[in-house]
Amino acid sequence: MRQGAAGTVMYVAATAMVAAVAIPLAGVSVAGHRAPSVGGLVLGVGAIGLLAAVVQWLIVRRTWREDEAIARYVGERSPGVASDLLSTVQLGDRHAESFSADLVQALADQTARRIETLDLTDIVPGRRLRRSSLSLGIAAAAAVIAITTAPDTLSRGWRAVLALDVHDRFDGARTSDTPIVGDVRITLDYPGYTQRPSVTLPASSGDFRAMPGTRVSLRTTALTPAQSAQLLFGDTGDGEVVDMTVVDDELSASFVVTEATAYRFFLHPELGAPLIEETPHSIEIEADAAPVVELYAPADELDVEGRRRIELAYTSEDDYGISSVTLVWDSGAGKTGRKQLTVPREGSRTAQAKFLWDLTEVDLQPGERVTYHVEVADNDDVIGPNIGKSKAYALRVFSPRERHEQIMKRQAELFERMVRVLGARLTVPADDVDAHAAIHKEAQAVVVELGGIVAALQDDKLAARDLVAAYKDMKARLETLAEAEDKLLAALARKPNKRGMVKLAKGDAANVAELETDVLLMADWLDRQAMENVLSLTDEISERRKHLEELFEKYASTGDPAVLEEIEREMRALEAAMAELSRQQGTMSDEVMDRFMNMDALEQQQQSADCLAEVRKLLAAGEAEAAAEAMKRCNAEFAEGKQQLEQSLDELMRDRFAEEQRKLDELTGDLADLAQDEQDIAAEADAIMESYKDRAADLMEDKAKDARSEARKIIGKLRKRLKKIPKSGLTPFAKEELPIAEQRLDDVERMLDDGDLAEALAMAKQAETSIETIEAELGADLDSGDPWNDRTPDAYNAVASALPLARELVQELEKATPSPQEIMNAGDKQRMRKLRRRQQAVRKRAEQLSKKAKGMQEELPGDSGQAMAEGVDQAVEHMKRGERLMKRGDPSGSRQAARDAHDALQRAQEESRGAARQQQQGQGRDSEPVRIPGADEYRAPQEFREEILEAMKKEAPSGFKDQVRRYYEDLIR
Amino acid sequence: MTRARTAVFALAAVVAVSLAPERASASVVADYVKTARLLQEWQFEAARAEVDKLIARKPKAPETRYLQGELTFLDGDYAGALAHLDGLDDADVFGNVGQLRSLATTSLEATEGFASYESPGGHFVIYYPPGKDEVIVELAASVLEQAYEVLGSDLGYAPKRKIRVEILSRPQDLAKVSTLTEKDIETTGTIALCKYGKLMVVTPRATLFGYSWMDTLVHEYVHYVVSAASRDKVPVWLQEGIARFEETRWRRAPGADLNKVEQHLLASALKARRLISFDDMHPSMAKLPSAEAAGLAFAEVYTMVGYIHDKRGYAGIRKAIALTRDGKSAKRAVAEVMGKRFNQVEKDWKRHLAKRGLERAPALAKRTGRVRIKKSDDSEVDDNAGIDQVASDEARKYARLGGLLRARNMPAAAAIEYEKALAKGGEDPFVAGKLARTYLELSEYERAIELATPLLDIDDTDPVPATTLGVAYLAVGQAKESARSFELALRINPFDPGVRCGLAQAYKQTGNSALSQRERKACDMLTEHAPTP
Repeated sequence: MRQGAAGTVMYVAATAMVAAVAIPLAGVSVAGHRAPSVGGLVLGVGAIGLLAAVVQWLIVRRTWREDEAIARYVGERSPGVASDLLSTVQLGDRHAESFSADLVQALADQTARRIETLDLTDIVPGRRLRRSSLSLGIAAAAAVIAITTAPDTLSRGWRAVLALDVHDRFDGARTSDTPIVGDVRITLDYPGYTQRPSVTLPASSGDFRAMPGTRVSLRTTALTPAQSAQLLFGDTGDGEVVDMTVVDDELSASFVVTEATAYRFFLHPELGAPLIEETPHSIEIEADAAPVVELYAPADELDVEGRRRIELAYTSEDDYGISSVTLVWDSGAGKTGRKQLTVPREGSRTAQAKFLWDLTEVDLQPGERVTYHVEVADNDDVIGPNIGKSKAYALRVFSPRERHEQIMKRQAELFERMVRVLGARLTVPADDVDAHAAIHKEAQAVVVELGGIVAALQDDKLAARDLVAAYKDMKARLETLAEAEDKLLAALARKPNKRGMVKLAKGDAANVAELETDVLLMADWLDRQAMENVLSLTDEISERRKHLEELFEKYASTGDPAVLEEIEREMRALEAAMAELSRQQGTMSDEVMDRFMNMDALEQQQQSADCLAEVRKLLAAGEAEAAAEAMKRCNAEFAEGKQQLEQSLDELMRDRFAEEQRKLDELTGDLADLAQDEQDIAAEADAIMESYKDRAADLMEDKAKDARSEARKIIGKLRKRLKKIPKSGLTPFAKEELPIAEQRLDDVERMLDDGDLAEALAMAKQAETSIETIEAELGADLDSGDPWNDRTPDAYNAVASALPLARELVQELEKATPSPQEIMNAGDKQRMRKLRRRQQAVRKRAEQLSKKAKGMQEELPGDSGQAMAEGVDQAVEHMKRGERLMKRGDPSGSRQAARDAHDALQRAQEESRGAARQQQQGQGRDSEPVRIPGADEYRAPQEFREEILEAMKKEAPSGFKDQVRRYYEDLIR
Repeated sequence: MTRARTAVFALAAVVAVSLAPERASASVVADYVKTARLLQEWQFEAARAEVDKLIARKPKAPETRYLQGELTFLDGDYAGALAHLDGLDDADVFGNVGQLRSLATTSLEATEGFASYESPGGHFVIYYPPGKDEVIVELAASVLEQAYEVLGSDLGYAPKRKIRVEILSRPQDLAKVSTLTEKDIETTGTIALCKYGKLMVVTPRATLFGYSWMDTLVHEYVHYVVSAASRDKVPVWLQEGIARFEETRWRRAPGADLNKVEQHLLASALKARRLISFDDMHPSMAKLPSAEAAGLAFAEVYTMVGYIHDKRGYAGIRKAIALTRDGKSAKRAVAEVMGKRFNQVEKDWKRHLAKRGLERAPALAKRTGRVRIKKSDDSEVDDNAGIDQVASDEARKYARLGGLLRARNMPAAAAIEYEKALAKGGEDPFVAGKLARTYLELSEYERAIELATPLLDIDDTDPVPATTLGVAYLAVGQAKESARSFELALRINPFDPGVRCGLAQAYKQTGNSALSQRERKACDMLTEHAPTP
């Protein structure tokens, strides 16, 4: 074994010596081309040799590991001892237990004695060592010869192999620490997408910056006449090689920059060794930055009521150009969406826009949070678009109606539990304590859940106050019973007794009675809420329909595609709401449907839905006017159906909430009587006015002509000013009031044509009141600090400029009209005095009604009492005004005041009815987008930035480029 | 066609003759008026002959084409009727073109895709929407053929023309193809009509609890017979009286037996002297203000015709019809038949009613027999639907609780609440019916039979007791009684799978295999086409 080991060591040493010479020689022979690879190959060969030596050593070790193998080896060379030796080894190793130990020992002793007589040189001959020694000697001699005869070659070879000196791969080349080429003229042709002009660096050192994709053209002069030249890339020149064109001493080459690197010139002179530059020239990369984008949203975290549109704005800049802008949203659970926004014009470096994001496009459940941001891609077509992302915002959609429905669902679930508890109570065996305990546990859970529902309802603005009160009382009653039973069961658990069992049975009776009441009460409330919910949905639908009708009219007159888009959106929303209405009706019980739901109402709704399909068809056919007409018809049908539904709810209330409804009906009856009486007063005032007008007309025949002419001029001017009012800036109320003012002006003109100055004055006063109302409405809106929209200030200014003219018109007509006191005869004056007394009496009744409604608020459904009182109070104010005017003998003003009072009383009837079912005003108004606060302020910096970005494109004076760039960058920041 | 419409035609025709000779010659207008009158008087064949003459003379005249259209419409070919009106203006023929076009269009829509079935006797062709309504078509045909035979004998008139019967899917369709409104239908529960020479009936499937659809079909057929026999001269009160009196003749002997609900209505009105006058029943029972009013009016005219029948037999009724046809007013005709002035007839009739010992039953105050329209698509009907029929507030409260518990599969608890309701409500039939059904679920069949049996006399249009009895008798092994009870239920609610499947079983047990097979087929069809072994 030792001999084997020595042989192996000698072979390895010999191989190493051969390798020490052969590897550098191989390196020298091929290093000019792919030195690092060849080096690797050579090193690989060396490694394989070493590995072979190790393997050889392991084989030797393995061969001689077993004693038996050695015994066989010795036996082969000395056959006389072969058998005994093998037996001895085998018996000693494996079979000792089967034989007598003494016998084995005797055999071992005998064999040992015989082995001692053997000649070791016969068994282990020395020729193997001789061979390896010879190999080592030859290798050593060759190495010594090579080292002494060609030390440089070996040295270069080793450097090549170890990559210590790459230039050595260029056979005979010299590294030059002085320039080997003259000034370098570099022309940079930037990638097309950047639209940058070519740049020439006329006398460069050779270092330059360029963008990926830039084509570089080099031109220089060889300082030593050259046969050929190359550019060697890479820090060590081991990268790509580009051959240069050599014409006389002029060298040129062209290449495309893809990454930051360095290069060297490599010349093959006509005489002498090749020359290579010692110091490389650097190429730095000029990066194409990702676009910068800023998103503006109404708030970082926004709660949106309903699926409205959100106003968003963005500004984006890029150094070379923007290719796309995308709104990206993520509502979690893998629900993501992207919306491509307007594509900027090609090559545009800036993009900015304000847009509306329609949440109906987003698959959102109420309460779900969605994050969103804007992504802007640049136009880099070399390495692919760079993406800039804005800050992310979040919003959460909530709908009071849907939240209310969720609470209703909880109530319905609780109702089921209560019915089950009642069923269990009715049938529980009186002496089964365990069964009672199980029911008790469920009863306690019912109380807890009822408490949760009460808490939820308190935050629900659609929940009726009386519902909360009813559930609170119910909870208190159930809680008391549960507590009593709790104690009783605990006592029975400790010690069962007959008296306790009797008490338990009594408790059952009390619980059953209570649950019977509560189950029915809750069933009534669930039915009522279901119907109120349906009505609430019809409120929303009515609003949408009204809005659509306006849009149709607008589209029919303007043909504006933006309006058409808005119509499409509203139609979608309306159809969804109609489908929801149908779904909700489907959830109502047969009993409610049969008893309270009018078949007409259902049919009219169906017809209205069919009608909507017809509108769509007409719209698709481009028949805008016909579609507008059809829309009006559909709305009328729907309104009829809605009216029927209101009656259905009244019927349900009369049946299930008889006492509340009876009281409301009683008050509503009083209110209706008042409205009728007030209408009679207005009619009497009108009759007095007619009489007054006739007299005035006779008296003022001559004056009327001049007054008419002057008044018409004022009306003309006033109309012009009213036309200048930007409609988009008006609040919904002001939007409704403006046509009324215009209508009154029409009336003034018509009255003037008829020569009826008194009536013209009355109409002018109404027009004045309308314009004053609009001004006050807009003023209050602006004062709130949160104006309706950015056009509202303009609208306010326009209205304010129209108001003096309206006043002038009234004054002009007043000048031309004699005082009523002068004109009215004694009879009319007497009638007026009587009328005032009637008005006083009606006013007193109205005040009493208001007081009564306030006092009964708690006993009436919903907020009907409060709504009625408020409405009647408004009417009372008009009545008081009427009384003053009647006292003054102003028939026109008196008539108007009485009419206003009558209108207020009618409104009070409608509003108290709506308030009885917690009707919410302004439902479906979600057509108005959620705006970015201060969007106007945002406009100025945007324009400013645009200008700067444009200025940046202009060429800066030579030598000031960097300063100018920094200046602009600071400005933008 | 209504009488008023004909009057308008006639007047307009005269105007047209004098003022618009360029539109139609005088003879065409005169022929038109004549033909229109024939149509109004249900003399369809005579009208057809006149139209043929007009076609030969003036084939393109609007009047000719309109009349062709009207005849085609009356034949039930709505598309053909519209084709005849093609190119005519709505205002043509005194505006009748527009009316007919609208009617034909809605009729076409309402009957689109209908299948048809001719009765074995060949006197009726039934049009119906394919599907579940198939389960009543054969029954309807059989009932109508029986009525054809009996009425021919009773009233002395048997139509020769095949009569078109349309089973409509929804009450709204009935409103579309007639002058009735949805409100009329809902208020009075009018569910069928005889108009335009055909019978139109809404399928019981469109109602909550069904209705006496077999009698109703016959009722409408009686109208057909009376209209044709009298040339549509008999006024509403007598028409309805004869129809009500004769509607059950296909299944029983003549007689004006009143159920307890009708007795209560009539007795209460007599006591309060609030009977509805015969004149106030014009123009239609469906236009009366409430279901109670309609129920009372029907009870009145039913007993009046019963009274005439009692005194003068069918000969008297036939004579009254004939006299009316010949131009006498109905009241005069009846007076002539009875041999006294009509005022006296009325007095005698009231006296006759007083003698009948009509009973008032406050527990039935809210039962009007109104057909209840189904307003949701649910196949299952809530347990508490119809609870408004319970007169006592207290009883209604417990009955509601019973319904809520029963619907949640707690029959034992439900029975307790229904018992409380029954104790409070004085044997209210709605509560008793529900309680009987609940006892069925608790397998207490004897108690169920005990509760349900008296209910049949109270309101024979209520399917609940009949169905309950059918199931209970079957459970206790009394197949004959079961079949009889189910047959009663079949007359009301033929789409209740419980009725059809139960009847199949009862017939099988009584050895009536043909009927058992018919009912089994219906049962399979109603239980989602899943054949049962």
